[in-house]
Amino acid sequence: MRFLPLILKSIRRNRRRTLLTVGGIGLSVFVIAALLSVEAGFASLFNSTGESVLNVYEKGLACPITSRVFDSYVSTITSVPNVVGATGVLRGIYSYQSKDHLVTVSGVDFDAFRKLKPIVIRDGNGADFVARGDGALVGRRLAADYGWHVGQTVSFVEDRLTIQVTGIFSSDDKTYEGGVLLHKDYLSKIKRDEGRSTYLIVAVSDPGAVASASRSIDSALATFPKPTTTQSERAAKQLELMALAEIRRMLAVMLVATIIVSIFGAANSVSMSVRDRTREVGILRSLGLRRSHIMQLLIGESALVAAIGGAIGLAAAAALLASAKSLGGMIPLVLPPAYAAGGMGIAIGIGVIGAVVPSVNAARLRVVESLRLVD
Amino acid sequence: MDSLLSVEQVSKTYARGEQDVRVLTDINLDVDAGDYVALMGPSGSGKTTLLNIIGGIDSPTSGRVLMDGADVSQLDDAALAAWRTANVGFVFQQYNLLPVLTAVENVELPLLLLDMAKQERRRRALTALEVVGLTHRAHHYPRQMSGGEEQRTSVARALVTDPRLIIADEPTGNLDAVAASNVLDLLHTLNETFRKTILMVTHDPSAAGRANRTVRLNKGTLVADAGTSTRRPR
Repeated sequence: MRFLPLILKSIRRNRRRTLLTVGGIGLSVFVIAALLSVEAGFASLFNSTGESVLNVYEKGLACPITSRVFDSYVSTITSVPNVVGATGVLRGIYSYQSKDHLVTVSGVDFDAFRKLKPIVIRDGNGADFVARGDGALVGRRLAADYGWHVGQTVSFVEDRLTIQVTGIFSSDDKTYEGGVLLHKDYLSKIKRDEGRSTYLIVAVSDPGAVASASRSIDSALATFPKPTTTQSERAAKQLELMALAEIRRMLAVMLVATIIVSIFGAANSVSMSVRDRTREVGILRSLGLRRSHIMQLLIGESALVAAIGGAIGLAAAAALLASAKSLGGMIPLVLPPAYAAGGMGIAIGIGVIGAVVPSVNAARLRVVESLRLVD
Repeated sequence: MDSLLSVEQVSKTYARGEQDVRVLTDINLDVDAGDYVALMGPSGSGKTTLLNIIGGIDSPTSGRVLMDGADVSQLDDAALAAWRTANVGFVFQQYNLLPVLTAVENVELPLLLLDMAKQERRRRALTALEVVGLTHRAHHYPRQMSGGEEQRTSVARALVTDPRLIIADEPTGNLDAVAASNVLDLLHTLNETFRKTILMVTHDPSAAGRANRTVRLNKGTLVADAGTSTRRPR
């Protein structure tokens, strides 16, 4: 801390270089924060899935959205041991105003659905929803994103789908909180998909019975027109998000590349700074600063510049995330404080790691070499 | 008088490419506390190298430097750095002030290494600037000062830790006659009034004339020693 005033003065010495370094690290942290927010979104979805809930999809489909199973399967499924309830969900992805704003719409049998997926109506009421055929319950995250309110009529691009917002709800399951619940009959007619669901939600009495119940359901439906694949809700969610998982992997590669490039950038910046100030290092050493002091100064300077860049990058990422709302209409984009702290830690880490080698080299210089004192 | 410094059989060899270049050969020199010694000699004679070895910013290839009987040459890097802070003040030809710091901040720099409150550091730095007559320039940056003022700031920095030994390497080499005279007056005052031991490299006979002893080097060997000190090279 005693060298902080000197560090602060030093970073203002070459403003252009400092700004470029801050910009480079800020950009890196921006990318890192964006990726971390996607990770946080994935985590929130997975963590909110039920432990003793199964999803039944059409067998052998790569894309879960195109899955179709018959609603009549429910009676067969409820006869399987340990199954305590089942209902169908017809899922659709609709564009609101433009293709950039995708909304997940789920058609459900309200009474059966809320028994398996408890929801709390925060605004409006369930009676209005039940009374209106085109009534809709909007997840509170989605409502906040688009500013929708009870009584509003919302139209989507596809299928001329129009809904009347009758309530805003919250749910422990973040999948549904980011979408819209409609009456299944209404959505089925619009999609011309009557009597069918995208998947069935099945509750079992005991989390330990998930595997055996899954096998029993698939076995019981094996000879039906559309055989099924039953798995835990968490595994089903992973399957549903598989396409995004690919993006996630790409982002991870970009993240690593970004960090590496940033480290080299910081190292280059510190190297240039040290080269310009070789004589100063000699002066400081002649005054009694030890090698460790020189390293503290140079690494501290780099870490401070990186921290400033990190703060700017995080602020920019937070602004972007506030406007982007969600990824593909499904993954909520938020940056939890712990992840932001992680991004800041990475930024400072970039500054420190990038400065280590040039700082060690500068500290190892003999004083007379630094001062170029030879006679 | 007591011997403050003893240089014993000091030799220095530099590797230049594949060749070894001998810069100093078997130098022996005693300096008393309160001495004002001028080191003279042609370029390349090894005076700056000798000064650097005595000041602990270079090490001898062989031989040793004793201060108060303790072998400085044996100290490790950290101990040597601490020794420099406590015992030696440097004044360089190029002034060597940090351009990003004001005069008073430059003078304060060595005090950062001591366990001293910020207010006390500032007070001592201002006192040192007062000694060199630069109180009015305390908050000016080096680029805003003349060469003479920069050098006087550098003297204040050398003085601020109250070291016993001040090493000045051609302190007037970059100054005009008036500024050079001011700096020499200042060094004289430090020696006379504050009893600082001064070792000064100079090419200027008139500057050397301010010292009470002149030591001459030629081709890395000590060839002459004249003055009023009680001790002579052995």
